[in-house]
Amino acid sequence: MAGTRRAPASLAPADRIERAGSIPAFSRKLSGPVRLLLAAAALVYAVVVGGFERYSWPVTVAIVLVGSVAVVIAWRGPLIRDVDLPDPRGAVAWAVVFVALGLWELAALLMQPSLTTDSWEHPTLSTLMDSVLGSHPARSISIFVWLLVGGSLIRR
Amino acid sequence: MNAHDVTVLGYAAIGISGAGLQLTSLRPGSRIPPLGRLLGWVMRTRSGRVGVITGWVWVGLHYFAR
Repeated sequence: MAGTRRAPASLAPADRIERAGSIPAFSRKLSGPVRLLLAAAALVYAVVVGGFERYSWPVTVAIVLVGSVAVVIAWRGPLIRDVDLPDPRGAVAWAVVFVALGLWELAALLMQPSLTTDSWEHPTLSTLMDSVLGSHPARSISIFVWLLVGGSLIRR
Repeated sequence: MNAHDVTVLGYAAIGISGAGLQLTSLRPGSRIPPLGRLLGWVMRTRSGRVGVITGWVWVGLHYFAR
């Protein structure tokens, strides 16, 4: 009926989700063996891709491939229509943190000698990460964490 | 304290603020939502899902790819 709102609490989880597509592996709770398999695949990917030199074509292709699959999965859903709106003041607090990070990073970027020249005095986050990501193990760990975050996001 | 220290301290302060918000959100009755719940709300629509995932992809490209 138009103009009526369903109470979220009365809905079963399956009713809360409107599936724009069907990707069962990512829209259902994963079984233990599947999780283990995905974790092992992510670990192998991180070790292999971490072995490539930063900013090289092999690592670019590897990142773009995984990213493209993730965007396709995100496009297809599941879409959850009736998630309760968090307290707006709390959401604003988070927005302030992210905007501050963006502005601080932008300020550091603009205070470099040029946009393509790193500055020790005004380092961007990527400049600070240069020393961390210089070794194969550190790159592999970082890529593994990046994959974990992506996997967590894509299952929301 | 030089410009480098100030810049790094700024990042640290922002990171600590984010960690503080997340910790605050875990307290019973907190008005601050956990970051995960906020992301869940943003990702309830297709544009939100694609936007958040695109941001994640950008991070990977920015730090590793050419």
